[in-house]
Amino acid sequence: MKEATAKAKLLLQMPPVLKERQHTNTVLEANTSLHAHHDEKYVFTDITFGISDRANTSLHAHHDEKYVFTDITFGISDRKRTISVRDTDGTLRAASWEERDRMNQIYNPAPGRNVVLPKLFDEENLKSALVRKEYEFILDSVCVQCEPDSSVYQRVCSGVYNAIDTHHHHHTLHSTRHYGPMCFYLAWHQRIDSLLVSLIQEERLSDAADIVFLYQLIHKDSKSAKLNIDPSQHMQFIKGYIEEDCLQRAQVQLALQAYQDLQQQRQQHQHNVNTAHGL
Amino acid sequence: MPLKMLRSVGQRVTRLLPVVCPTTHMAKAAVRVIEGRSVTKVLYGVGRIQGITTCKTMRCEVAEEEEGEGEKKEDNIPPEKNRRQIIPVETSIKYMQSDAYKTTYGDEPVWVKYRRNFKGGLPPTKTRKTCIRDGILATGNPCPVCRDEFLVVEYRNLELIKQFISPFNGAVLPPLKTNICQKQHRRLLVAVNKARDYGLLTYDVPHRHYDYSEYYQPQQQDGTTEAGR
Repeated sequence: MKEATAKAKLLLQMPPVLKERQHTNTVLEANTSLHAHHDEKYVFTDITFGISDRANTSLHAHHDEKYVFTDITFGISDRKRTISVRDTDGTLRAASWEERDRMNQIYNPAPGRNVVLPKLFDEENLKSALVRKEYEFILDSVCVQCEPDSSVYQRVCSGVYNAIDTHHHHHTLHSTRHYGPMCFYLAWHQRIDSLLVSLIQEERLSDAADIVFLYQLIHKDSKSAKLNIDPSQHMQFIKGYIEEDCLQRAQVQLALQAYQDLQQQRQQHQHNVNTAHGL
Repeated sequence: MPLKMLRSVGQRVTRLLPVVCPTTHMAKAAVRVIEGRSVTKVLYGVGRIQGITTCKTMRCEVAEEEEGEGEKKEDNIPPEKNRRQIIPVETSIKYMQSDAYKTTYGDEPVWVKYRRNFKGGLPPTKTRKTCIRDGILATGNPCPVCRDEFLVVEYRNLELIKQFISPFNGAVLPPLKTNICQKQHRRLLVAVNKARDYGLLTYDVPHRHYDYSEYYQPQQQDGTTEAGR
């Protein structure tokens, strides 16, 4: 049982939520000579099409190919690996993010990752997959293929979360590793109302209170945060949020009211049963 | 010598290709001449007939040269073996939903009811290379996909492709199990990979483990580590 719990914890590890990485253009050397680096192994790969394997190539300028230098030392993570490109005009610059992803996959292949992006992440195919409600599959695929701060990852994830929010399919991501990032995304964009409604309807008030707490952590100057209601008092806590910061007030209030009525009915029923039994 | 005899009887046979085409009236006469007793005596004494063949392909060439009548190659194909017509995928997808498919296969995959012919108890480790050669069924017992011309293996034809994927572990079933020919099996592998690439077929994606220290180190001023240059 303990082993199963430990395994489940590993599988439920949340993918990191990061800002989108920015394109930078660091030029390392503008001249044509290549300095010796003694502490890393470099692989110089001339990947020009049409040259035979036995051709003798020199590393000086006046050639028509770009060289990509990838540090393949064992034990370095893909994010910290040194990858640089010598352009045809002799400039040695740091590799762009797309070049980095490609080289990392070529020299350090990961299971399930491809050099070329799967066509699933194109707009049309993504839309048809979302219509088929394959949210978890899309998110798992994009986690395996892309880094969490790449533009493709951000675009695909936001597309999935928006579709889930629009169609109220939050239950599909419950008990998966993507639930946390989805809640963070919705809280960041102040769209937790439909999520709250679905949680209240499933009678998960403590989870709903956690979502409101997350919202208040992100938006520290929201009005409900200043009320300072105890989060363990789930009902009051959620009500405080509804009154101050909620955008779809009516729906959440309705859901909460329905929940309260249901609880009352159940209590009444239990009381009746007890009196019938003479307790 | 046989040619001289034929000429002496008054039959003309082309000199370029000394071939007899039994389908034309002149050739039929020539065949009768050859089969005639007077000729056969001499022929058998002489030995085998040289320069005269009744080979099918040669026959047709003579026919075209001689008179222009004669049969084209396409007319010789029995219609049930003709696979020259290319069926589009959309037709195949519609066929999978049709009554014709339902009555033929029911609810089972198309390969279940097929029986492969081989000698001995254990089947050969590879199925046949291909059932269709030059657009014609070249075997008497074609594989489950080739025997039905409306089963087109393509990435969009998910109904058909899913029948060749194991329901237990999501792997493509081996051709020894499904008994499809090697060519169709290769096309099936391509179709399955393409469908998975487009996201039309789902599969168990390998789990990716994140080392959080690569993404977040609170000691640094900015929350993320910079990729090394």
